[in-house]
Formats: sequence, structure tokens, C-alpha cells
Amino acid sequence: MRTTRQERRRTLQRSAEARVPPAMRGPVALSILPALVLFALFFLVPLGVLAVTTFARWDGVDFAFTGWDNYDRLLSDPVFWKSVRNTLFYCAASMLIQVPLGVAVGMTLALRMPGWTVFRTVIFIPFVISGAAYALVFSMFYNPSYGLLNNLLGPVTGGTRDWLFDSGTARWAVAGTFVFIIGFVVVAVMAEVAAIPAELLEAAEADGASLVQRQLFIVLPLLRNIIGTVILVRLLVDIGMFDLVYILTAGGPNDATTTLALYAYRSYLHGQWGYANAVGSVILLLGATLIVTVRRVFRIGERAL
Amino acid sequence: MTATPSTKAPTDAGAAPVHPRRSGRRRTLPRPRALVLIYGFLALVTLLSLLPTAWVMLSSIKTGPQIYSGEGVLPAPVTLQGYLDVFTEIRLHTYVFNTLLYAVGGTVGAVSVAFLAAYPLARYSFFGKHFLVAMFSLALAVPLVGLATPVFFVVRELGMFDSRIGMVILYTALEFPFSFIVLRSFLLSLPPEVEEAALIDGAGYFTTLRRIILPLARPAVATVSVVAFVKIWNEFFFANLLIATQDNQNVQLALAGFKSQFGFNITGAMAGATIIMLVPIALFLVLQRQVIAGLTAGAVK
Amino acid sequence: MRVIRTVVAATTPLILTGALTACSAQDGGSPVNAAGEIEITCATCQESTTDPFLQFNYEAAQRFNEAHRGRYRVVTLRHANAGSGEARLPYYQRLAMANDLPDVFQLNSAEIESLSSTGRLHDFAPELAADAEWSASFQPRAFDGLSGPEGQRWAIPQQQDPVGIFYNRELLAHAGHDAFPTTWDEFESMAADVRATGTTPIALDGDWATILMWSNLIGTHPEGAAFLADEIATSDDWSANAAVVAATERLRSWHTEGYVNADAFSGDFQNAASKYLAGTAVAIPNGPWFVKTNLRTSQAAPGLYEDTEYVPSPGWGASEQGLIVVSGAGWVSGTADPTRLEAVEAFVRFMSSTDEVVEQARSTGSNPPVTVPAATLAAAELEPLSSGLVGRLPEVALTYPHARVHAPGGIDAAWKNLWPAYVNGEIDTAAFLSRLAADSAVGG
Repeated sequence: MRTTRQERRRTLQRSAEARVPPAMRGPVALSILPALVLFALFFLVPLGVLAVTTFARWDGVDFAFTGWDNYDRLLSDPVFWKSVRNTLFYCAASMLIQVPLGVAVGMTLALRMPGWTVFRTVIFIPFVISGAAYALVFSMFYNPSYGLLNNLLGPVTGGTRDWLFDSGTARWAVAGTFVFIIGFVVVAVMAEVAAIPAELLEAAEADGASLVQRQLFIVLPLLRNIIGTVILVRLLVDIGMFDLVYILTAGGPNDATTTLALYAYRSYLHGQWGYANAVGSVILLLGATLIVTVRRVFRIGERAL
Repeated sequence: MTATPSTKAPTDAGAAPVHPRRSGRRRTLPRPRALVLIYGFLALVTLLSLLPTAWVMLSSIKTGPQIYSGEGVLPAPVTLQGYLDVFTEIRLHTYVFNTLLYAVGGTVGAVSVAFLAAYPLARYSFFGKHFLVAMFSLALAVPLVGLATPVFFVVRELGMFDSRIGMVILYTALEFPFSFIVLRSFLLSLPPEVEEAALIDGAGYFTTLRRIILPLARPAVATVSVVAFVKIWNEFFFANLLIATQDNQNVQLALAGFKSQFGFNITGAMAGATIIMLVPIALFLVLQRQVIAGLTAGAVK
Repeated sequence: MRVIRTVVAATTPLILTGALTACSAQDGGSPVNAAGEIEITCATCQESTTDPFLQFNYEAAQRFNEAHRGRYRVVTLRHANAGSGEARLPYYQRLAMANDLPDVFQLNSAEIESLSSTGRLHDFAPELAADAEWSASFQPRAFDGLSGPEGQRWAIPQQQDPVGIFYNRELLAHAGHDAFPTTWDEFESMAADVRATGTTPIALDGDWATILMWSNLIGTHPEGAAFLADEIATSDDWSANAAVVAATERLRSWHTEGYVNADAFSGDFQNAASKYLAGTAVAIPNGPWFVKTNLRTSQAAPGLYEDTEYVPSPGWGASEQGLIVVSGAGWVSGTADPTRLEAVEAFVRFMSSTDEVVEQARSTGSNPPVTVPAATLAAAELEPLSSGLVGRLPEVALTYPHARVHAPGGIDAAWKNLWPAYVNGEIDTAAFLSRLAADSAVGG
């Protein structure tokens, strides 16, 4: 027994990242197994199924290879292009409104003026509310006959508008449901600002830089990484945008609000699974492209070098 | 969390301090006039983000006719009928029970699976390790709705369609990658000495994991648990795809169904929405520190 | 490598077990329960405090179980979206794809049209052919919209209702009219008068109620009835039909003239109903069940029921009033198991028996799909407003099916998507109608 114990000590001391001791191989494998099985079943297998069936006519039962037919049809369908445009519109709304607003609020709250914790808490609350709940809330909020928005704006604009079912405003109305949910951006930015060495700002202050100058020229550049990260997180949500649109407008009017996810879902419902998966592959590709681009632009991942 | 070399450049006016002070501990505040502007800005943002929700919550104690008339911001008269209806007519409690099952089961499952995988993938080196870590991380970067149909197919083939246990397993699978990443980075920060003694004393692998590592990792486990719970509570897409029977529906499906229900009861719908929204809000208010820590840890990776 | 091998070795049995349980689960088990009864599942037989149809089905299923104790038993599935709503069709499509359709449940004709193409609905034609007395008991047009092109009978009719327009006598009198108009021209001058009093002439929802008015406008047009009964199913461009174009443009003008409620595109019937119930809209189209589900609830303004009348639709010319007679809904079966089908047949026969259809009329306001002796109906003392239009059927010049009955299954979704854009002037009538036809066919 003593020898084994010494052996163990030697193995363990070799390095923090030791090789797996022979006696541990079983338990270690067993320990990784559940994650591996779940990953294989719900990520790898579906990916494989997707890759194969985008080139087929498939309804879950009957299967026939059709080559690039699904993609040909996709490219010639104006509704597909509308859903691409809308999806990118929602992405842009997040990047150009939600994230800048969140960064501004996060930088402001990081000044820690009296009452900052209250604001952080209150501004974070909408982030934990589900998309389905938000859809119900806004279907009532936007309602032209009893919704609060028209009651508030009525005296100003002198009339009511059917925000969700007027093609001119529908996309904006949908975007309006999520661009002000900035809680996540705010807390991420605040955490990053808190990690900035105080000396840096004190030195700038000593040099006579004003508060606004310090924020714009010292703090903001240091946030590049986290801004890129929150954009990534948000883009992933927007590319898969479904709940809100599905419940609020079902994609209408005249497909003005529909998204790729909704478009794929319709094809799936109609039993065109191969086609739905072709759209799915576009969603995945779009996601990969945007992620790679954002990582490049914001140089994420280079920090660890 | 170290700054990149380029961003460090302006700092080296002097020698780097041993314990660099973090900003925010002591900071000169803006002048009073600027403060007024700042508070105004924050109040406006708060209003924009909370007004519709607050209006619905307030309306949940109005009568149906008052809501439809669009008259009066304050409820007159106040009624709790919606809160009664939501349990008698819409049977919200059955959906709450289901969702609790999914959220608790999925959270326990996801965190356990993640913890079990995170430990060896943080501690040991073996063939394929980096590949596995990369794969599990990649799962977080996939817009899963793109995989809707294949996931439906897999779930159906496994006999898990419209099944409560099936949903718990699915949520375990969907949520474990996030927990894995956060837990693994936490375990990487633990010095390996802590469990060496136990292993040397002949304690088995799983005993060490449970007795030594788990208690040490408790803050990280708490953090990922709260995040997973809230995410599963709020999940709509896969529930909509994979649940058929009303008895298995979660609260989000019930919520979406309010609108199209026969004899739509607007007060009841608003009351139900309020209850469903208040659960994660309450959880967040109580466990604010864990939620924020968890999300930022996940974001920063 | 050994780790990976271990992992693979350990994973394989797990996946296999999963696959095995999956296979056994799909068999569905034996249809006969411990008591020796054949069990069938019903997805629209659940207790409901909000939906009188579900509640009636639930009670009828209990009576069926009582009457067939020891032989058959209906087990209630609490299915989501069982009652109604736009989510119902997608929902059953999903079940059909999962091979998990209930043994018996109710669908409307558009949904039947869509689901029959999955090949998983049972065809009742042989059972009906085998029993002449049973098949002769149904009303003349009861199977419209429930049948397939080769004479299939996808469903056993659930009801046959004349669908007209409810209006508020008091509000109409307030605008200076003492009777509901009988031509569309009169209707429009009435609407202009009503609008001047600050109330809404007609409440619509951008979905069900709007399509009802569209059907009325088409059906009362001299060349329109043939479209609703036939052409709507076969034509791939509805803009070629003059009656449809005229009806569509007339309906649009009511929106641009401000004759409808502000939220007439939402797709939520209750948004339209709330206007009528609050006494701020003069009229709303719907079936007789509206009395039970809306007029007689606490949501309705006091005295509204007494002020309400139920009338046929106006027509394009004098004495050309019309009624939608087929709204098309029935009991379908999703099983192919012969033992279960025996119980399913017993159940649908039970539901179309005189006792049950009269009870249904009493508790839901919906009228019987089978011919019931006048004396029996009189004795049942049905709700007068709900059953009133049945008596007026003989005097009405035109009857026609609801547009949804023969149209391809995707018409509801396509309408909801395209109608607001058309009314707002983004697409013209020809484009609207041809896209409506095309999208309805794709969605089905």
C-alpha cells in the first residue's frame, strides 16, 4: 500500500495539469460521459442531420436527394430575402441602439454616484423577463384602440396608429420591444470598467482631463473587448429571433417583420423539412459569419495573448 | 481579466503596483449640474425599458371594460378578479408546476453534467481534451433555432416528444455548455493542492469531487444555477416545438396561448403575465449578486 | 485513445437503450384496458370553464363512457390549443409529423384540408356507406368542407349553423336607423351615419370576423356563391373573378372610410368583440355561439343582450340577403388501429345522435348537424337568439359556405399577413388576390 501511495504523490506532483493516473481513467471517462452523450445527441447528430437533409426533400418520413434544389428555391423566394433583411435589421437595431445605449448607461453607472445600485437593479429587471411575456405586454401596449402608447401619443400626433400592422412601422415596433432591454450590456460594461486600474484615471485627472474626456478617451477604448462580446451575445439572440415576432405579428404584415427562424419554422410546419433545414443552415452560416466578423473587428480573443 | 498589452501602454508612467487599485473605489463625482443631466438620462432609459411592463402589471388589477376603454391610468375600481381567473379558468398552477419541474430538473441536470465534465477538463491533460473544451464552448455560439427541425427529429426518434422527462433532458443538454464554461474557468483558478491531499489519502475520484471540490466551487455553482433556472423558466422556442399536451405545457406557452384562447380574458391574461414575469424578477432581486456575476463571467469567459 | 474507447464503449449501450425505449413507446400499447374496455383518446373533450364546446364534449364523453361501460372508454387528453385559435393547425400538423395524432378530435374544414394531406386522418366513407340511415340523418350540406376529392369523408359533422351578423338595436336607433340594412348600399349609408355619432359601425379582427364579412360580400354577389363553393378550391388566381374583386374592394373601403375599429388587423377576435361588448360598435359578424361565449358573460355591458338582434347579411340588390350556412367543423380520427376505430365509430355515432345534438345546441348555442324533428327542437327550448336564424333560413334568398370551408388550409395565415398591407395600399387588388390564393395553397 505504501508504494502505491508514493507513486500517487509523484504523479500528482508532476504538474498542475497532470496526465490521468491509470486508476483514474475509468472515473474520468465516466465523468465526461454525460456531457459527451448530450452534446452528441443534441448538437452533433442534429448538425449531421441538417447537413445531409438540406440537399433532400424530406418530411420526417419520406426522403429523396434533390441536390441543390432547396437552395435554388431559397434564392428565388422574395420572402426568404425579406426574412434575411428583417433578421439583419434586428441585428442592426441591437448594435446601433441597444448596445450604445447600454454602454452609455453602464459607463454612467460606473461613476457610482448616489443611487447607482438602484438604477442598476431597475434597468436590469427587463432582462430577466421572457420574450413571450414581452410579446404579450407589447401586443397590448401597441394596440391602437386601448394601448398605452397611442393614449400617450394621441394628444401629440392627433391620431392613433396600428404600429404592429402598418408596414411602415411594424419592424420598428418589433425592434422597440427589445432595444431598450439593456441590462446585460450595462452589467457587463460595469464589470469591465471596475477592472480598469484607478491610477490610469487619476493620472488623467491630474493632467486636467475632464470627466467627459476621461470617459471618451480612456475608458471607452478599454471597453472594446467587452463591447464586442456583448454584441456577439446579442447577435446570437437576434439571428434566432422567433418568440417575439411569432406571437406579436406572426411575421406580417406582408412579411414585413418575419425572420429567418420564423420562415424556417413555417416550412417545417408544412412538412418541408429539407427546405426548413436549408434555411437553418443559412441561420447557422449567418451566425458564424457575424461572429467571426465581430471577433475580428473587436479583436476578441487576442487579450489572452 | 488582464488588459491587453496595447491597452496597458498608457499605464506605465511608473512601476506597476503590486495590488493595482480598482477604479470605482474612489472617484471624483461629476458636478451637480452634470449630475442632474445624468439622473435625467437614467430616468428616461428606465422609463423606456420598464413602462410597458409596469403598465401591464398595473392593468392586471383593472376590470376588463376599463382596460378595453383605454381610459384612466390608475385602476378604478381595483379588482383581483384576474388573479382569481388565472387559477380557476386558465389553471396557471399546472403550468407553474411543469415549469418548476423543467427548471429545477434542467438546472440540476445541466449543472451536474457541467460540473462532472468541467473538473477533469480543468485538471488533467489527455488526448482530445482541448478539442472537447472547444466543442462544448462552440455549442454556446450556435443559434440553436437553426437546428430546430433536426432536434425535433432526434427528440421524436428518442421517444421524448411531448414528455416531461424528455424536456428535462433537453434543457439539461441546452444549458450545460454555459455552466461548463463558467465552472471550468472557476476550477482552473483553484490551486490543485486542495484535492491532492484527499486523493493521496485514497479517497475515490467521485468522493473527492463531492467532498472537496463541490464545496469550494459553491459560489460558481450557485451562479450558474440561477442563470440556468431563469433561462429555462423563460424558454419558449423548444417548448413550443416539442410539447403537445396542455398538461405538459410550461408557463411561456400558456402565456402565448392567452391571446388566442376562447373567451380571451384580458384581465386574467395580464394577471397571468404578471405572475409569470414576477418569478424571475423576484429571483433576481434576491440573488442579484449571483445573477450578475454569472452573466458577466459567462460573457467574459 | 483508451479514454475515447472507454467513452465510446460506455456511450453505445446508453444510446441503444434510448433507441429501444423510443421504439417501444411508438407502438402505443394495447387499446384494451384492464377493465376490458377499448380505450380511445380524445383531444377536444377536456373540462373547460372558458370554452362551452369543450365543456359540452367533456360531458358528452362522460355520458358515452357511462352508456358503453365495459366496452368502450374515451380518455381525455388535455391538449393545448384544443379549443380554437391560430395555433391549432400548426399544433396538429406537428402531432401528425410526430405520428402522435389523438384517436378522436375536432377540426374545422381548412384544418381538415391541410391535415388530410398528411395521410394520417381516417376516412369515414366506408362506415357511412354501410349505414344508409345514419348517413341520411345529416343535413343536406353537412359534409361540405369535410370531404375529399375522391369522396372521402374526413370528418363527421359537428354542427350546422347559419352564421349572420349581430347588431345593437339601441346604437343603430341612435344613429337614426330603426332596422338593420338589407343591401350593401344601405349598409354603407348606415355606416356613415353611425360613424358620425362616434361609434364603430362594424367590429372586425383581421382574421375570422373579417373573412366572414368577405364571405358575405362574395356569397351575396350574383356570381359569388359558385366561387365559395367550388372555384376557391381549384382556381390558383382569385383575382380573375369579378365578384371576388368587387367584394374585396368594398371590404377594403370600409377600412379606409373608418367604418371599422382601430385595431381591426390584430387577428384577435376578442379585440373586435370587446368593442361590441362595450357598446361602442354597432355590429359584429359571428356564429350563434357568440351569445354563450361573449354576450352572456360578465364582459358584456349591462342590457346588451336585450338590445342585440341576429340577422342575415345584406345583399348587393334588394331581397338578396344571405347567410353562411356551412362553417365546417367535425370530428376526425387520427388512428389507423382497427380496434380503436371500432370505438371511434361508436363515439361519433353517439355524438351525432338526436339527444346529444340537442344537448349541444342547448349548451353551446350551435345548431344540429342532423335533422331533428321540429317538435323535439321546440321542446328543447333553445336559446332564442342563438337558434333564431335557423327559423329564418327558408326566407333568405342566398346561402353559401364560409370562405374557409373550401379554400386551401393556409387561408387564415395568408389573410392575416396580406390584408393589412392591402388595406394600407401597399399592394393592389389583383396582387392581393393572386398572392392570397398562392399563399393559402402553400400554407395548406
